[in-house]
Amino acid sequence: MTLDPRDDDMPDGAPPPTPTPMLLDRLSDASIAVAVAALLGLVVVQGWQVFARYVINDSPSWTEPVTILLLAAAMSFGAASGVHTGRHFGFFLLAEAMRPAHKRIVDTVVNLVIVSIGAVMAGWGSVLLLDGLDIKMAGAPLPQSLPYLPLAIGGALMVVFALARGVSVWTKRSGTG
Amino acid sequence: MAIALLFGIFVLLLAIGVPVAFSLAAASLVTLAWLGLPEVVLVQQIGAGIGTASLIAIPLFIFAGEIMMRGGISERLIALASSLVGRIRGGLGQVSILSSLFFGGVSGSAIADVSAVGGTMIPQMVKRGYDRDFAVNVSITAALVALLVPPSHNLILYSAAMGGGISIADLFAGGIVPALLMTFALMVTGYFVARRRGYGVEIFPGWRAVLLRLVSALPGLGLVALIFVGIRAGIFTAVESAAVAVLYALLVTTVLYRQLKWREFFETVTHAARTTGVILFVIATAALFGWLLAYLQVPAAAVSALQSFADSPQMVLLLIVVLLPAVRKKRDEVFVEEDA
Repeated sequence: MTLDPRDDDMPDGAPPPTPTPMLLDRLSDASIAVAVAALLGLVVVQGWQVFARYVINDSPSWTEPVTILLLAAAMSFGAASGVHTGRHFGFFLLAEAMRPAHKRIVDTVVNLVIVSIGAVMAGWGSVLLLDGLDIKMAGAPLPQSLPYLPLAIGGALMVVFALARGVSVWTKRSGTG
Repeated sequence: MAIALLFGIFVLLLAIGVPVAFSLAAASLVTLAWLGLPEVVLVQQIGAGIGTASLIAIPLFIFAGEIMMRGGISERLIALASSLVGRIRGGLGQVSILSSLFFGGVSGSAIADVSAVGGTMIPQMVKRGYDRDFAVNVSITAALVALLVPPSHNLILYSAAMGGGISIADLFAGGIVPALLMTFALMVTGYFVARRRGYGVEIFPGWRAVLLRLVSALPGLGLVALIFVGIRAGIFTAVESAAVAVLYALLVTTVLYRQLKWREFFETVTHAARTTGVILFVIATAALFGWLLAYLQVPAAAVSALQSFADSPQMVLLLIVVLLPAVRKKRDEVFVEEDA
């Protein structure tokens, strides 16, 4: 899997990384940091649920909706970072075997598909979030539509990362070749 | 037409290298538009896909598996397997197979299994003169046992796909005997291949060493018992057992083995978060794809078509037995053509 533009061999004496890729790296790091926090939060919330049931003898009702929110955050931010680092599963044999000119076109299509899905997630995720802000979650004092927030942000991040990858498909090759 | 569109676009996108999750989502998006349904369904179904309670166990088991892999549990399981079956013909292959069973039992993931065991055993086998094809094949095939033993992620997914109608505890219990049979069959096959190719045996370290390695590996193996007994006895749910597995693995690797330092912990949780995001996104988009299949009544049509010529469980099993080798043969032909 060589979707990550950073995996490409850099020629000797290549210029230092430009601010935009560095900014995208930081954005991806921030995204994965949120996913890490959500994952650790899942452990704490589920651990607390077991502890509260057996030790305090009082099963909390807020753990289930909060768990769903944390899961949505772990997925959305982890998947968005996966677009930047090229970690998503796929079958790349055919694309790898293509001529460079064809591969460039296919890579552009691949990134456009990701942009489209990310845009739909960001757009409709925001609409759904705003629609349910006034309704309270069952079991927790939070808006019912809150789990759509990470989906919307994750979608927007996917758009940014996929657009950057799409641009790098053209700029990198023309720059080095 | 909508069904052809759904599958056609999915296969086309997959073939040109669009990642699986985005192929599923894009094929669904186009089909939604074709059917005149609003795009908002995509986001709603992705949200619903991760809202299934039992799925929450998967990221936590992934995290627990990562902790065990980096915290020293996998090394101890391999050492135990080595002392138990290393002296059989093709010893390192046998060690790889038994280690996969042990590690599959604590990670529940074939990918984690092949990275933890294969990553250690394949280089060792190659270094000791085993053919590469044997080393790779035995490691990959043996790792599949993780699909059967508790806490198999696939069994959790299966339960979720059935709408929770099949208990995870029952699925876990049902996977144990097939997993043991699979391990046994692989060990017998590995033995005959090793004999034909003239692979050697490992030196038996003595019963004292076996006992010491067993004691050292017991906390890791204890996790299998903790998960299995905890769920079967109704002490905790599958999701809670996954959180308990993380805490237990943290306790064993930091306090008992003292191998997981802050730096390793940070790397572990970051890697687990990356894997979790990618896997959950595939599951969520597959839920969307599955919703469309149900909307288009594909499962009902498939069952009806199947029942027209396979009206008994025996007939269905026979079909699977006949079809699987045929599909595999076709797949192998494709790979041979690609290699040529």
